[in-house]
Amino acid sequence: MIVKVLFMAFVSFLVYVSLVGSIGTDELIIGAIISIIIGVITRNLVVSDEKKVLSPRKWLGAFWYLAVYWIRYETTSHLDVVKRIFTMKYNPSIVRVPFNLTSEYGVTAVGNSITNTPGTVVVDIDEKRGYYYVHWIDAPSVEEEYCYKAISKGFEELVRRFL
Amino acid sequence: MIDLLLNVAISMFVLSIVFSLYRMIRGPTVPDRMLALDVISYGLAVVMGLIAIVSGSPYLIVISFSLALWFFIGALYVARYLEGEEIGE
Amino acid sequence: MVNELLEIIGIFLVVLGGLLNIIGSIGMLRFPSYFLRIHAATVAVIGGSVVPLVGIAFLSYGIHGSEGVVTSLGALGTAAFIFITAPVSSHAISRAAARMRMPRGPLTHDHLEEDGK
Repeated sequence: MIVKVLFMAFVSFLVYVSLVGSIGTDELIIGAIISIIIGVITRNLVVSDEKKVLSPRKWLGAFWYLAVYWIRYETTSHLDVVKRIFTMKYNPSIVRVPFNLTSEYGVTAVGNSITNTPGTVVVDIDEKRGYYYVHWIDAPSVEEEYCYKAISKGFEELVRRFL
Repeated sequence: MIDLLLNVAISMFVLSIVFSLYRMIRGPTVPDRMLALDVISYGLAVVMGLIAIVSGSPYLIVISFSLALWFFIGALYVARYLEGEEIGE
Repeated sequence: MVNELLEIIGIFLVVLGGLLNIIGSIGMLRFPSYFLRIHAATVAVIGGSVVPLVGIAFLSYGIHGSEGVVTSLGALGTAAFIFITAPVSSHAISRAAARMRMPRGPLTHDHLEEDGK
């Protein structure tokens, strides 16, 4: 309970500090009071499991996700799409990609990761059958297993570490 | 050196905004225009940050955040409007 | 020394982001259909806006010292916000485009069409 309130208060305090424009004692005190009020109001909206917020393994997993995601996936896919912009070679398809995650946060995080890498965009999602419909700029094959390995397997393994 | 590169970077972003403006005026459908507006608003947010560095005042970065927020809400509204106009079914 | 290193990293990220932003908008001009243009727009938004905003955070702290902390925090917050919300808005618009039966351009396979959506 107190963890949920403090987490939301901390997030809103960070937003407040980055937007207030100057850092003085008065501003910090007013910001702390307001962000605790916001934390009390929004305590049940975001955090569902308190243990996950407190465990350092999950936070390390989140940092590992950011590092691997930016250094490996974003770099390679940016280079690939930049090449395609200059050579105008494309072979697009809308393919089905199955997902094996159960929590809504996990599905959203993997979908956002897929959309954030250039070259693959989630167009639609079928939650009952467990499919993303992904527009892929260069699809060598449209079989589900191949697409799962090529697009979302790495993201699912990364996301499982912190959600 | 840093000042020169900052000015070069600002002109690069302005050039990219001009290209996207062409796509936004020309774009055959509404989603194309929203895509161009996407690139324009986030590029403008970066230009605001660069001007905040050049002028040395922190108040412009607030505008950059509100610009990103404004575009996000606007895109969601346009998407709902487009789905309401669904053809068929 | 540390400040100069931060300035160099920051200006490198900013110029790299400017190049990616220009390349992305050129791609938006060249690609023939909406669903291809969206990939070029992703290059321009992720590589061309999030990366230079992180660069601005380094650069502001490197140039202005402790007076630039507010700009640094604001730029980092804006970068995180764009990183979280850009895929949401682009997914919303492309889903609307798929549901209003817009022509999907050159496609070799279309599983969305096969499943009747």
